[in-house]
Amino acid sequence: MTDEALMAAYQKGDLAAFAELVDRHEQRLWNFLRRFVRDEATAEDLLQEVFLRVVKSAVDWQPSAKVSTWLFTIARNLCTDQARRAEYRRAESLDLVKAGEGDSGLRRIDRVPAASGNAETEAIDHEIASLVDRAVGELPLEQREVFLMREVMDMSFAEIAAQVGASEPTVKSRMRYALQRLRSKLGELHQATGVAAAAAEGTP
Amino acid sequence: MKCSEASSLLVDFLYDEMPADERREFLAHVDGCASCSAEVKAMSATLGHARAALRGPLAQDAPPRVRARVLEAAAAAAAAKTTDMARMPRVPQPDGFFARLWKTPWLVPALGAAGVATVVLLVRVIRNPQVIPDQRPAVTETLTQPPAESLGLRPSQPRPETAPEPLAGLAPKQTRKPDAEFDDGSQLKRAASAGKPHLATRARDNPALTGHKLARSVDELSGVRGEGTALTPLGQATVGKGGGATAPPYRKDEERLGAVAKAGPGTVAAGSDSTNRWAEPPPPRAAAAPAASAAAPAAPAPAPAKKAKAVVDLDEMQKSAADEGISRSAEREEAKAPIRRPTVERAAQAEGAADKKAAPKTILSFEERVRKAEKLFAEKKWAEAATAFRALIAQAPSNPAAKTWRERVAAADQAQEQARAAKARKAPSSDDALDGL
Repeated sequence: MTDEALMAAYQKGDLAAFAELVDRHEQRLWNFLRRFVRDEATAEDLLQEVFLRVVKSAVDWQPSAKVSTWLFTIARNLCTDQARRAEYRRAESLDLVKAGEGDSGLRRIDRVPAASGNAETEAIDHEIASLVDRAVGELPLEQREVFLMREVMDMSFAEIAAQVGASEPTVKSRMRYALQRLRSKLGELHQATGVAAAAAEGTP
Repeated sequence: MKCSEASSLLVDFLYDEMPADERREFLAHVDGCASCSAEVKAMSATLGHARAALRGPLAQDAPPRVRARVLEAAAAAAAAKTTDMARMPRVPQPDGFFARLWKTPWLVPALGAAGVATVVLLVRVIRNPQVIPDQRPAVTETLTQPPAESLGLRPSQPRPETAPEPLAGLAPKQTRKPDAEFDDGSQLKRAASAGKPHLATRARDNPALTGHKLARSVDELSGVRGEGTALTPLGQATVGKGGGATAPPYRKDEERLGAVAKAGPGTVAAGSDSTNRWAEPPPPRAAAAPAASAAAPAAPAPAPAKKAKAVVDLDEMQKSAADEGISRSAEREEAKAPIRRPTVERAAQAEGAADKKAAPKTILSFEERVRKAEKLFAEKKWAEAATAFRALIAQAPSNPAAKTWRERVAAADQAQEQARAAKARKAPSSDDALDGL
């Protein structure tokens, strides 16, 4: 069942269809928002706001509109508004230690469960993830937006171009600059990865 | 392929969005270029690490509380929507123009009535174009033609069957007071001439009818003082039904007349040719009456023999009228009473009457203007005289005096030119004035 069919069903009062729609898109939206605004509480509020706006505007939704595009448009507009407001205050970073959480000395990213089961590999993955998370957060807004749209939201360059209102070559250029900046930021990551790889190769 | 080109195609290569030919060309360049090869490897590694981090350790599920709140809000909205839909009446979609036009109950009859009125008006204009003021002939032509002909009316036809016949042998008393408010049997004559022989018949049948009440009844029934035509609806109704039929408005008067008839005798002859002011209808009306009388060709004339019985005491009638001021009330009622005639003939009669009333004024005005122009010319007021003569020429170009007027205009213009030339000669020029200084 497509997203559009689910949305049409919800327009007729089918709450299960709307729950299915939320299940399909909430994780990607959550990760996009969290990476974009770099604050979990704000990302949570924005995620809730995205779906509430969908609920509010469901009556006016036309079947010709793609639901995923509609959702991301709402999310991006919210992020843009949030970025404007964040210019006047210091946004809390994911790697900052909140009061009361410093007892363990772990950052939030450190509490994210690793994908693999190997403890040493998990440590390296955490280190890489920490570096990636920091490097992505330090990207310029336009490059970060394009990078997250492509890597988190799985949008094509054409869709990204339509969303940001730029040409596709411009979007690809932004993507290339984002990768180059990540590469420079992750310079030490390459060394660490090499060490880890060598260690992994040396491990029986 | 150059290194710059390869660098610009790096993203397409990494995301595999490069055509096959271009990809082979790109790989051929990378294989032969150490720097580009290192760049591609480094960027691929960076993208791999970032993708692994974002989709691995950094990927998180959304907080469950967000989902719960969102679903709760959706359920509340759905419930509110259902409630609102159940409570609120369905708003009908706005109809189109023609649908609204058709649903408007009064519009179609109104348009139909307007169309009928337009057709009637057009037919009337076509049949008688001179109802349009601009279509009337010029004043000079009107002056030389009979009014009925100038209006294009039908030739007047005598109407012996409806015209009031003199009641032979029934001459009333010639004792009318000159300053009486109203007079004697002229009321009856007027009624008879207005096509109301039934009134004369009523008076005839009630010889004891009191004079002033009879006069008032006559005024009420005749509608208009001095009405000379027999084409009022009253007259038509009466005549068309043989003179004995009575329309509903008459009933009260007839009953009253019948009641009054018992009061005392009278000795006035209805329709007699007396010397009262009502005996002779006004000239404009008299001209239109015969033409209009053709509308009731089959109307029978009242029997002359019976008219002799319709006698009322004129002295009694005058005295009573002077006492009670009936004439004033009669005039008011006359003013209130509408004049009803068949549409075309009524309009024609009204036009004829209006022209006849306006004709003397036009003659005088025209003659006055002629005299005024001559006077201006004699007084050597050239400009005004020329203007006045030009107006006369424009109004009556076929007038026999038009040639003279044109000569006067030429003479006035020439005199003006001479006056201007003389004035110019008298006035010193600026050079002369400077020379004088």
